[in-house]
Amino acid sequence: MSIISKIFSNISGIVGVTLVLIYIISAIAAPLVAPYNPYEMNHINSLRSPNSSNWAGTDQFGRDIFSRIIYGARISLFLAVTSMLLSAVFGGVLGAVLGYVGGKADLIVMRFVDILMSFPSLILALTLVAFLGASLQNIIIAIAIPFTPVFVRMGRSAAIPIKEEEYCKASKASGASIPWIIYHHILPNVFPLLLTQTTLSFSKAIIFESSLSFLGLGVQPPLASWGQMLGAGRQFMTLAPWIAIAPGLAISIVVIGINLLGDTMRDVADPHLQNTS
Amino acid sequence: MQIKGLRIIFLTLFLSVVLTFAGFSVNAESEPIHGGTLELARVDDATELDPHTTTAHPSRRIFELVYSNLIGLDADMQPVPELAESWDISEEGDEYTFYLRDDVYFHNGDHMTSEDIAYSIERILDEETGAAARSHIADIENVLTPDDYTIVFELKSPNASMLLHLADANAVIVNKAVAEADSLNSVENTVGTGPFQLSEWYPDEEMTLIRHADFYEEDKPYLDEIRFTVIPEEFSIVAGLRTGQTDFALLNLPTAALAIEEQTPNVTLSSELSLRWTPLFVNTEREPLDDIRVRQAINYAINREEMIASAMLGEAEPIGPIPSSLTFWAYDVSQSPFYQQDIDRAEELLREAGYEDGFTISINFMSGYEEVLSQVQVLQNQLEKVNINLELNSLERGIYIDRWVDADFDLSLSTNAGAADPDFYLFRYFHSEGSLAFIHGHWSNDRVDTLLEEGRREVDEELRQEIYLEAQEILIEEAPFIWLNAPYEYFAFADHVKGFTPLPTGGINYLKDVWLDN
Repeated sequence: MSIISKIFSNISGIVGVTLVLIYIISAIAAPLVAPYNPYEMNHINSLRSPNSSNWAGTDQFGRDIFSRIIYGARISLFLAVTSMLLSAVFGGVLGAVLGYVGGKADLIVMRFVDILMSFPSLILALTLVAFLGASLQNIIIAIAIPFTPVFVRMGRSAAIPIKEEEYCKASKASGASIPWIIYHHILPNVFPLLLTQTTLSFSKAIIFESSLSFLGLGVQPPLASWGQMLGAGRQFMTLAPWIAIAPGLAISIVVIGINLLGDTMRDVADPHLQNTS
Repeated sequence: MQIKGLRIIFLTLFLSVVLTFAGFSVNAESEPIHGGTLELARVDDATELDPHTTTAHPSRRIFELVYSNLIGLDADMQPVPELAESWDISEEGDEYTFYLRDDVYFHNGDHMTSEDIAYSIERILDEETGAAARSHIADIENVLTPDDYTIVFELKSPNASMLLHLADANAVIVNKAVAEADSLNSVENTVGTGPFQLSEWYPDEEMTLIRHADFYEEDKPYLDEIRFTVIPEEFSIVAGLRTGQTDFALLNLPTAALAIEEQTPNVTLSSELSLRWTPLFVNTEREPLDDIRVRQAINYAINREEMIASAMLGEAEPIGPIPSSLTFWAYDVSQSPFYQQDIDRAEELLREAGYEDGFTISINFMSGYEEVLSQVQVLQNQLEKVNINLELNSLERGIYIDRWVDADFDLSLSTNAGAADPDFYLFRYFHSEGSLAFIHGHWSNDRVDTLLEEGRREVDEELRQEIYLEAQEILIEEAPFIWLNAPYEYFAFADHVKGFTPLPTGGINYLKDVWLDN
């Protein structure tokens, strides 16, 4: 059975894939899907409750909330993908190298990683953004850094046992360089683990971005971000609850979707679980 | 004789019956009752307690209740007696004589005399103190105390705003003996003559004020106790008002005010047009804002009504250099062409200035203030229509203030504290020697300099009004700042809270008149 069909043989896999697909499609095709321009203010239309022309209502500036949710998917997907790639590639490779090379470098770098891990990650991200300023690039860095230690540890712990394998020792004995061994023997073995970890961290990254934006330190207006919409909607909770409900729902649905998909993928990819089933 | 006597008895009986019933109905409506604790909620706590040096609003609210001034202000910002029963101003306007009450006692029992007042004024004038009100009353040259209940100020030159400045919460009268012995920045040393006495303070949690039994106004205050509770979220305060946990609240957010107005019966919302003001601070030293045509174009591109309607939910008024809450001094901006949105005119001016393709500038503002963020977004949207791209710089409070003080911005937007005096809004910023003239990059105008100097000296109200109106007209045209709007001060109180008079300063001095009808 191929991995794809295994995922689809499972109800939570189907739901997860569907939700994630909806998320990705609306993010990529936002201009086609969104009924209105998400940035256009129309003051006459302000604070409309959900109706046939504005499915999720309008905010205080008369902007269509549904369109803003669609465009918000774009921002959240972009930020989550880039920051996860950054931390997975950087962290995974660093971990693999440290695991293989070992010695003093390993000792020193891992202590840094421990320090980084002991920091509450949201506080770390907040400090970084406050320090660097809230541009998109800095937000990516601020999300990537707190996530990197997990990947470093994962890469390292996967590399250590492989180092002792016969084929690895054989390559070394026949004079292969360290980069060659890491590239041909270590990384291919580390990769599947990193992929699963990336899916699992992905939903956290989305929540991270939303939290930063909610606190006003993430994505800056006029760009639409779910967290920022939620933050702005908070003060309208009693007057116009739909402003906060829509982005809140969007965040939860996407996070549930990704988590379901991630769980299914782990079940499918993990050889131990495979044997027992 | 006998008939007449009977008649009198009858009449007396009749009247007493009528008056008794009348008394009942009056009692239910307006006869104050003593006693009870007022639960007051607000977002911020006091910072420090020295009344002469602490300018933070939350602290000033406490000074208003704990201390007294020589004179006070009524709801129309007119001087009323406080420690001084009456006063005389010499014809030249350079000598003020105050006749004091002889029945004023401090919270510690000390009798207040002109010595305490002379000491307080001198403490403010002493540069060492670093008092906030120093520059405002610096025209006082000599303080004389001919007897225990008379005090005379001799001024270097007439100063039309002197009475207003003396009524400020940072110009209160302190106890000489206490202040000479120790710092005033503690609960024990907060010894005033005001209607309430500070009894306990748990910073960032709550503060308790108790009734001052020897308060000089007879019968007052009616409340036994006021408990200030800090609740950082305005919507939690609204919820508290709804459940009856809070009797009285100080609010800032238009959304919180609307939630009370529309969804909270049994709670009265009082909105007073505030003395606070929201301008666009403009750095006239930076390109392209150094060009007056660009500044005027921005003025024409802005639609203030639209901005207020959506960003402030209608809860603000457009203003000129002096906010409209100072009715007498404020320039009527509805007559000004610069206050009518005119995109064509804006584009024409930008073309003349050589910016027909537009440009990008940035705006600094403090993060965490929803109404500020909303205004900035509307501004961005409106300026886009004339090809001005506005970059938003949301800054943490401390960083925002640092950049403001360094004049390190293109545009900067914040809501600022005000005062009941026209000079406060103009001289510091727009006189070429003004202490804050660096903010707009030393824009200056000789005529404005002359007018602002005359405005300080002119004692005749009508003439002084003309002076300030002319100055404002020039300022609006030259646009060293671009004035946007003034918000409201919100006081929300449960229906059983009676007798409160709100002030445009946001002051709560009149809690001394408040009583609970439980």
